[in-house]
Amino acid sequence: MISSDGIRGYNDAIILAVLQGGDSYGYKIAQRIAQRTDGAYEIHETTLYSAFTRLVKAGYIAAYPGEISYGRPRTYYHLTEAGAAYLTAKKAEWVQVQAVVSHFLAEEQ
Amino acid sequence: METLKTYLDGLFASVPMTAKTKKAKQDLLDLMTDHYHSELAKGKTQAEAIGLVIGEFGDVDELLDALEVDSASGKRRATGQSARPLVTPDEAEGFWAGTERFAQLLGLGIALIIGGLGLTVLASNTGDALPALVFLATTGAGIALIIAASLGYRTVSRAMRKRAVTAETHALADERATAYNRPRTVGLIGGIGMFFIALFLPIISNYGTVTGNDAGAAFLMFVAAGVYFIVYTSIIAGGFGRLARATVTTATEPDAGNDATEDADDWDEDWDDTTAAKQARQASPSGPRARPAQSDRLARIRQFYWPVLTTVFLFFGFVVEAWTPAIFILIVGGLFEKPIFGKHK
Repeated sequence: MISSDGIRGYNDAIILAVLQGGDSYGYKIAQRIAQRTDGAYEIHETTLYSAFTRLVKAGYIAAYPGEISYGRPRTYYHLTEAGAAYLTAKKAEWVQVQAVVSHFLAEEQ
Repeated sequence: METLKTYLDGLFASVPMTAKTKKAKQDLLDLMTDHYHSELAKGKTQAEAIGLVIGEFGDVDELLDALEVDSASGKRRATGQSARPLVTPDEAEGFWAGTERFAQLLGLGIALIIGGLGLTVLASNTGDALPALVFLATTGAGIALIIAASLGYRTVSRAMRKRAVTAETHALADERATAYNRPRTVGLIGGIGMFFIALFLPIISNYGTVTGNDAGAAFLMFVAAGVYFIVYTSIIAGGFGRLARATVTTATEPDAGNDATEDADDWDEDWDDTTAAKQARQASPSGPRARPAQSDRLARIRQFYWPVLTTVFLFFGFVVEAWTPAIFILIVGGLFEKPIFGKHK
């Protein structure tokens, strides 16, 4: 299991990538992340919510009240255009970062 | 479920409630609730699910940073209160382990003294030096146990003094205290049951085969067992209760106009608060000011409470040779300690 420290800097992009597949809410997003990584990365609630707060403030996602469960409307998140653009930029950056770090840390050259 | 809410209330106890933080708290509760239900769906028990949700919750400071509020620790220093680190769940476990050892030793020590008297009575059937030896050995061992227990516990207890706990510790303590309610009740009922048996034995002894010294000895043995049950379970319950009542962050008095103070009272209750002080606080608006003086005076009287009781106990026992009223004094004294001095040590 990967710690959120190691992945810091990409949490926001990961969440945006999940939202690119459609609007979703807090725990569902956490579950998607765990599923897509076969449980290798389970994001903490605090990390997740901190990211939501940042992303909403930056205008990359928008929050709205959605479907009701356990007596309360869940807060859903929607990827904005600015968010999609940011995600594209992050994807390009990741390819470069991965290449650079691999030069030093990958086992086989 | 309530535990999760309690946990979040604790985390947000020192955070000023704005529309934004209120929303964050609700969203987090939704997140945790979803997580909790998904763990239940995986076949976990309620306690396991709550443990997992709280365990995987993450770093609170990260959250407070994102919400752009002062972290709890920063705030604590600002209010000039205790800057000692918060009690972590690990430390709490250590404290409880120490409390259990103390409960065991103290209960055993007291039971040994009382039961020893019973043994002495039994031994007195033989007539020679044996009763005196039994009496000295059991009483000596009992007193040694009590002293050792108290000295050991002082270190354990002092480490927790005036310290606030983390929200996680609080939730854990809350859970343990609730879970211990049943053993505690069983201990109390068992103990009182023993007293009844103890009283019953001398009464039937007039009609049965158990007579004279044997009945007296049995009486003391059962009282000893009863006292052990009650002492042991009350002390352990006290250990859980103490951390469950401890301040989570040293939040200041809630603002009168604050709309989010519904639960704040629970958090601001310090564990060395006494019942009398609480009453004083309720009686007058300037209550909190009156509190230190009153609890100080009570604490001073309290120092003499048990020594005086013990003296009266020994006096009745040895001088008046009436052990039944003597033990009755101890029991009644123990029952009245809380109402007189409040529930916290």
